[in-house]
Amino acid sequence: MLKCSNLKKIYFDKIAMENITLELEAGRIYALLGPNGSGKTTFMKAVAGLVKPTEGTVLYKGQPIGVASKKEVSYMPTENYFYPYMTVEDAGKYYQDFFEDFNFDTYKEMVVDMGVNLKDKVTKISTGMAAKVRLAAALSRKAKLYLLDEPLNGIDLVARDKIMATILKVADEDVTIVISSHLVEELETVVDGVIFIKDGRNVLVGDADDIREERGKSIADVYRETFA
Amino acid sequence: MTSARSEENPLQMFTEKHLLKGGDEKMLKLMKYEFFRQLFSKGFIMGCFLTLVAGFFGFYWAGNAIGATIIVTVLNLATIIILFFAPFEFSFTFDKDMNSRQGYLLALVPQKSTTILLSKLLVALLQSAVLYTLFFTVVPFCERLCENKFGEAPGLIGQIVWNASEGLNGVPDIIEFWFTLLTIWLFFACLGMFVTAIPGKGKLASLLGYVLFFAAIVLVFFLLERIDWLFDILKTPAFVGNIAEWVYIIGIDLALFFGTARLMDKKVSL
Repeated sequence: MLKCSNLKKIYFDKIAMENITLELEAGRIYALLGPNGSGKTTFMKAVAGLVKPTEGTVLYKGQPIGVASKKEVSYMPTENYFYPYMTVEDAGKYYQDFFEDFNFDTYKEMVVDMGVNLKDKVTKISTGMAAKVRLAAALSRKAKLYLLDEPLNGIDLVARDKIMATILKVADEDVTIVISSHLVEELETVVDGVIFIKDGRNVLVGDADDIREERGKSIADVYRETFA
Repeated sequence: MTSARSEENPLQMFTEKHLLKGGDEKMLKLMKYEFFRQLFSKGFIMGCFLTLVAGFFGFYWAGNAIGATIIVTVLNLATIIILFFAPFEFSFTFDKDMNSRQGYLLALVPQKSTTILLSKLLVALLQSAVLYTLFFTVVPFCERLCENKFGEAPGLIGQIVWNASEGLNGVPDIIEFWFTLLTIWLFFACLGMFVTAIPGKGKLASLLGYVLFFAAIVLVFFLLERIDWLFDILKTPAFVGNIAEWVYIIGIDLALFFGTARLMDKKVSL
């Protein structure tokens, strides 16, 4: 479904990612793990089409990232990106206007269920609420590839379970989900594959069960060992 | 889908193939959101304008010559500022798309860069046209009222408009005037877009951007004068020289437009 070869991104004098080579298969949930500044967000942005790699290629279903891939890739950024004049409802309407796979009723249901008021301005809500709105917008699309950048950041403990359950609802045999997070334990039980990124390079890519079996450790312990 | 009519019309075929493919409906929706984004500053200007005009009529009816004259002076200055402000303000809005998180919304939309750029340009152009029309009709009107009632008025804009209307010989000249204004407006807006889309970081990059912007203006207008001079020497009819100048400016506008789209597709990272 997604093939990245020798991806490299340099921001002026800083290497954000380098030699990222990996393939993602359909029907799997991947955890993208690494410390702050390791290159996780840059990788996701490159797949979403927001970042243009300095070197290397990203192919989605054999085609470079572009209009066709954006129709099937749903990206949830870590930052608030809606226009300041928009309400939560406006944000949903924007998605409805431009993404044919977006379901506004699902979005409404999701945000209300997570305790967000549709009439609130996106700039006036708390960090946690804003994250819920972004997640609802991304998950209300019937995409083939979901890229969720730190979906649990700023979310309280009780709401996290609900959010994980919501994420798992969109999982399907032809759907791929990539979740980046620092909260490795939260993802441990749900992911099929893991990608460890350190200093902009992918240091470990593989099946979660195989890694656990080979190393005799949980993914969280392997993470601690790799990044300690 | 390409219609039978567009098959006969190369310009329309080109537009549908390269600019509007994927649906005019999406283009209109892009314009709708762009309209609201760009509306605040234009709304602010409109609010100030209406307040000033209301103030003018208040002084006018009250017979206060000083008050009316001051407001006409302010309106004159505002008209000159607005004329240059509109394309520059458009570049600032575009800068937010290229250099802030707000750009994500546009960059994630499954539409071609050319469609996105065209929608932004059209909205800015329409809003500017409304502002220009208002200022260039209401301000000379206020000047004329002031002059008739109080004997004199600080009539810079009025003078320009009256002089221009005296020099214009009918509809073709008026069309020529507005078309020239349009191509120049597009040049400033497209140049602003292009310079903004060039990747760069920090104060030095911003400074270089400004230098490039003003250097390009000087160069383009220097060459425009050369074209004018060349056609004068060749003693061709005036309209031939005008057409050559339009082709030159439109060519630059198109190069900047497609150059910006190319930068967005290949270079711009958010």
